[in-house]
Formats: sequence, structure tokens, C-alpha cells
Amino acid sequence: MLAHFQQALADLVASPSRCQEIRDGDQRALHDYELTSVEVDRLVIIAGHRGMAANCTVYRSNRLTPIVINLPDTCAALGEHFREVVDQFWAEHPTEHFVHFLVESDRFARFVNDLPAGSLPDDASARVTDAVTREGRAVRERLTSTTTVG
Amino acid sequence: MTIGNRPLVGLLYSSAAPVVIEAAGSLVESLDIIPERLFYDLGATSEQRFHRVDGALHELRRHAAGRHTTGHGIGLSLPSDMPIDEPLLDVVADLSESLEFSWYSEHLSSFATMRGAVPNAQAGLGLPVPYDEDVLTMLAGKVEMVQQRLGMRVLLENPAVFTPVPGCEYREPAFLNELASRTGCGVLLDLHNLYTNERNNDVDGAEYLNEMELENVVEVHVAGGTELFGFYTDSHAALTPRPVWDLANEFLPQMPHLQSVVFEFHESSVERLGVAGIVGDIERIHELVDRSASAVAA
Repeated sequence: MLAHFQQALADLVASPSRCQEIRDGDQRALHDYELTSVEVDRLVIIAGHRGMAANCTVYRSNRLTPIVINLPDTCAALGEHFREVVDQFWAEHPTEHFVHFLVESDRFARFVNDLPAGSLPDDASARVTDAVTREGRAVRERLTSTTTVG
Repeated sequence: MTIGNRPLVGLLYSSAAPVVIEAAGSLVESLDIIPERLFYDLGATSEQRFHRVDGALHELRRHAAGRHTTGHGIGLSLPSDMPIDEPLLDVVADLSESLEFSWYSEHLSSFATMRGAVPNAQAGLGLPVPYDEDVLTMLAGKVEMVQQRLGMRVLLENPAVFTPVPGCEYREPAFLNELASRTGCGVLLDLHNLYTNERNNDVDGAEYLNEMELENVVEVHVAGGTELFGFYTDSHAALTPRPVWDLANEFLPQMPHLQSVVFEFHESSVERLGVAGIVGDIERIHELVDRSASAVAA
């Protein structure tokens, strides 16, 4: 059915590894959806299309942009741990609606702030805490300088 | 919404648009406004879902004074197989009324999905749509609902896609023709999206436009893009390339109901493009619409 086709396509765009599994002939990634045989065939062709690499790259770039723009020092402080933390954030906090840059940045700042003790090495942890406290506060201040409309 | 017999010349409004508007002055006659840039949506589970960005709205009103305005939405995700987000539609309707939009356009791409949303619709990564009869029926119902709620015509914009859906029952222009026929909606023809599909997917732009019923085209977009790992992207990070002007020169005279031609640039690209460069493209659009209007009149 169409809703499942669209969800499966969105999930493929968000996961290059899923696309690769399908290109390798493993279609188990499509078993979680209610799909017609036509929809399965379409998804297999799309996963193997050369343009899928561009979809995946643009998707990831788009998700990174708000975080990097609004929390640059936090990203720098995370350093080599950034990729792992951002992947964990995306896995645990999928978006629900159209996401404004500041909203996404606020969600990420809160996520980093709430990371369990020991998630990061001590030397990185202090720098990250300092940066995310400062930048997260600035993001929240910009978010609250608005008027509620409904 | 024309000046004399020619379409208006417009700009996609963003936080970077004011510097261009101030430099271009009366050359900018209309503004395409993205409503979702004027509020924060904290999600349906929030106690207060929508928060208006008063500063952005105030600045927009200052620049919109004396200009025509149209809505260019990215949040309703009309081709998604899910109910219309009615609270969001209500907010869009309020903005549409207060900013006096002449029409409202959305994208022929799906951003929202049943378990969430493809994030960052701002950057234009929409999912390709299967151009099938069942999708057409579903989409037509939603377009009619939005037209009724907003009290104005809705336009659908042809997308730039990296991965078209194979084996569709309709070709894209035929799908748009049929949608317009069933609902009375119009077309926002993005010539740069079409050019992007020419570059990446071997679409024949002239053939595409010959298949499209051009009397449905109300608005045209032009823009520029950039290369990314062997693909050409609709990044809005460049000035309008020559092939887009060529398509515009050839086909605009065949659009009798065209009302505006809009230049799109990404707000992060002002330094790269230069204000003078952007104003230069706006001046070229003026020359284009003057020539096209003369051709239509003849």
C-alpha cells in the first residue's frame, strides 16, 4: 500500500546500509512493510539506482546542517565522537513533523546534555558540557522569543 | 496579477532576501513566502504546537508592503498517503489571509511519512511520487480540500528527483495535466528542477513541456544548482544557467496565464552569488517577461 511504500522509501533514503543489502539481493529490509509486488519491484530498482547515493548524501547533509549551524562548538568538542552521537540521536529521536532548524538543534542539545555519565572520555566530556550548555542556552533563548499561535 | 500584460517578477523570500530587495528596489514585484519559516512547529504532542516567529514576520511585512505575495509551502506534503495535517493547514490559512497571498503552491513530492517525516524539508529533499491513478485520486481530494480551506487556487510544483519511480501509469506532465483538469489547480513550473532532471535522468525538457498543458502554468521558477559527487543538484547556490534561460525563452510565450516568474537562491549563497549577480538575474527575468508578453500579445 502507498503509505508503506512511502515509509519504506524514506527509510531507504535514511539508511545507505539498507540500500546496499537490497542491492546485494537481500530483501529482508522490505519485509517490515505491507507492499504490493509492484511496490517491492519499484523499491528494488530505486535502491539500485545510481541516484540513490545522492538521495542518501543530501538526506544526511540536510539533517546535519541545523546542528552544525547552531551548535558549532558542540560539534567541534565532540570531535571524533560526533558521528556516533549523532547516529544515536537520530535512531532514538526520529522527527515527527516539519522540523525547524532551531527545534532540531534544541533537541540535539538536550540529547547531548542528557548523555549518561561515561558516554564520552573525560577530556572530551568537559569541553562538550561547556559548549552544549552555552550554545544550547542560546538556541532556547531564540526559540522562546516567539508568540504562541495555537 | 500582472503588470500591463506581463507577469510579475519575484523573489523567493528568505532571511537573506532583504539585502537583495533593498538593492533591487522596484525590480522585485512579488515575493514567494514559505509559511513554515514564520513559525516553529514543536509537534502534535506539544502543549502549544505552533510558535510564531514575530521578528521574521515583522521584517517580512516591511518588505512585502506594496508587493504581491504568494505562499510557497513545504509542510503539507500533499502526495503523502496520510490525512492532511489540519492544525497546520489552519496556521497556513491564517498566514495566507493576513499576508494576502494570491495563490498557494506546494511540491509534488512527499516529505511526511506515516511514522514521521523526512526531516529538513527546507533543503528540498522530497521523496519521488508514483504517478499512478490511486495517487492522483488521493492527491486531487487533498488539493480540493486545501483550495476550499484557503479560498484560493493551489499550484503544484514539478520536482527535481534523483531516483524517479519506475513503471508509473502516468508521465509527470500528464499527471499534472490530469490533476489540473480534475481540481482546477494550477502548475508552478520550476524550470531549474526540469533542467536538473535533464542533467541527471536524461529527461528531454522540450518534450516534457510539449506534453504539459501550458495554459495551467501560473508561476515559473528559475534558479541555479551545483555539482555533488557526479550529480547536479537543485541547490539554489548558483545563478540561472543558460539552458534554463533557453527553455524559458522558448516556452514562456506559450503560457497565456502565467502571472509571475520567480528567482530562487539559497540564503547561504548570497556571498557566493553576490548581490549584484542576483540583481542581474532579476533584470534578466524582466527582459524575459517583456519579450514573452510581446510574443503572447502578437
